[in-house]
Amino acid sequence: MKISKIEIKDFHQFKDFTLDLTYPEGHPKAGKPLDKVCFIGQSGTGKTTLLELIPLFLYWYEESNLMERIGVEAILNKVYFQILFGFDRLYSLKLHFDKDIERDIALFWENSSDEVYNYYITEWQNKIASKLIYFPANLNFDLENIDAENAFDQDAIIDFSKTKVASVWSVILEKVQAYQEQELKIRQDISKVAETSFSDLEAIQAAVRKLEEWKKTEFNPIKDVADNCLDRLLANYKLRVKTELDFKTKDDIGFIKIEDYNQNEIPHGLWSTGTKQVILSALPLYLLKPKHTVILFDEPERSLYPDLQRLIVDYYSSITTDCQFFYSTHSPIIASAFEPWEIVELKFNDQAHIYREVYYEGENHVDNYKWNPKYMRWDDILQRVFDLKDDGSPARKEKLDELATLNVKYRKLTQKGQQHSPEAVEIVQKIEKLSKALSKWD
Amino acid sequence: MQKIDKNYDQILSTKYKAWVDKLEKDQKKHPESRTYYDDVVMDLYRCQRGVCAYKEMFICIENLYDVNNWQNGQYHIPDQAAFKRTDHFGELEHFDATLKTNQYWLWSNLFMIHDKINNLKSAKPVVAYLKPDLDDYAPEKYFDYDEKTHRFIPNTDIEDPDQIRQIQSMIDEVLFLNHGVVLNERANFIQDIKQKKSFGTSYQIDRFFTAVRWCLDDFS
Repeated sequence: MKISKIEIKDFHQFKDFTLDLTYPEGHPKAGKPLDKVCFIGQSGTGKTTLLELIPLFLYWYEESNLMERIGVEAILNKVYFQILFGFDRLYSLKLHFDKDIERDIALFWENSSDEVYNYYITEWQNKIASKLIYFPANLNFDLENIDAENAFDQDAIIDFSKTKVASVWSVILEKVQAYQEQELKIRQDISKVAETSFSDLEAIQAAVRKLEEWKKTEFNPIKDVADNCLDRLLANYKLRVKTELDFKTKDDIGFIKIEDYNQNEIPHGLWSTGTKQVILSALPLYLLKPKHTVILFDEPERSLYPDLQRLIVDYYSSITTDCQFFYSTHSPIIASAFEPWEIVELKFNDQAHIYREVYYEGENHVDNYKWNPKYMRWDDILQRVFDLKDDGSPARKEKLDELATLNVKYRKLTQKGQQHSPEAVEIVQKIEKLSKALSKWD
Repeated sequence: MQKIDKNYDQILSTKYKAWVDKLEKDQKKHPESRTYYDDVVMDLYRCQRGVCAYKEMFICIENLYDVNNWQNGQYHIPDQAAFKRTDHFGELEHFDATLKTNQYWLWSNLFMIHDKINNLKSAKPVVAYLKPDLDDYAPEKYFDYDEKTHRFIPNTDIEDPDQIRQIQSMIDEVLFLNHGVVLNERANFIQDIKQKKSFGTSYQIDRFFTAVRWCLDDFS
């Protein structure tokens, strides 16, 4: 299930606004919905609004912050979503909200039969696709009091602006506890052997071997999370998941534990916000294993060091199946993970309405795109995509102007044959000093 | 900030000219009609050689302002042409915004400028002596160009600190001559031309005329 088009006739700052979310001509997937979309734009251009409209249209989810503020009435007959779903054959639905003959708000569909809509609701949403997942900008970092009960079963979508992200641990908590229980039992057996046959070295060794064999063959859910999900990300912080647990009872596990490379456990209270951010955004995707659904990330760069920002977009895609991602970001590093047709840059026009700045000239064809964020330097992305005027701070700009002025003055003195005059010598000294400070020798 | 020759008596859109002349003669407010929009825009591009009047970035393909596109004093391109009238990314700039209300189509007040920079510039006025089509306007009177940093600066021979500040403010806040994107494109273009020149291969100077001219003069 993927969104191929959003049309907004008149809603807030949007007026006669259309977003084509399909691959352009010349692309192997031309005409199909984009696998990932990146919203960028000044604050107030409606990035989060667009993100929060998505669950409403796909799951009639009215509990987003936006919908709680304005209510569905505000968008009746004003916003249209076109979605495509299916496997070999793709079905299309154009959805909008309106009032039915009994004056109740209802979701209407165009361009399709009732059968297609029923298939979408009963089969696709309920049986084939996973639930939509929403990661807000400010994730709930609380790591305590996690229940074994799965908190997500009852909700229409998985909304981490309402649900504690760490509660995703409940998905594997039972498995972890069962594994730990079994390990405890084998360890107790070793203790018993050591107690009763303390002089029988072979018996003790056999008991220990049994534990080792068991560890080799038994699926360890924590080691799985460590090896296949978190350790490669945590390596950036010189940390890893703690897979050998010194618990006393099975209930000690609570939430995942991490340690440094010297095996010092880092208590939850001392986790940095960056560590929490990376664990709490990657872990849900790994554990929930979403497929054929939509995943929303508002400002995924929060608290993440640039090195990690480079990785996460591709990484999140790699641990999901056939999902469509929507990101909203202010980070040039996040933006550099996208092809130019995947970037939706929102801007205000003269009438303070929003339009999408396109990066192609003429026909929407892959060959007509002016630039590709994947090939650009970060500063170039900041200037071309994020419209930043300068390549550094105002202080750098001032010094660059100063350097340019000295260069020109020196050139003019040289043209007059005065390159050895005291004035020229003084200028050269200043140029050298400034050039060094500005790293201008490139 | 090249000097632009906009000789009104030699424009190709003579029907537009007759229309405006009559409005002026009758002292009538210019209507909002866009009848002569393409005539004005394309004639301006012809005078500006397809570049932004301020930054000299390439904003219009040459085919669009080819003299053959004018017949009987009116601009027209055939439907089957390989290019469209919208194949440019400039916007109409009213140099003196106060004239916009009554004399919207006044030729001497109009220029084509880069749409993105027009957004940044918004309503900020350009100082009168930097109007590119003034008889006595010459960019070298007000600007210098440093080839190492590829920045425009106020002419270092100007001594009046107020004027230096004024020109610097024009460069940074109104004309955006050193905007990162503009600066990088200009630097790349100049380096490319210089490389081609050193290799003895052919090159075409179709943008950044002022900076290229100043840099190539120094090129040995």
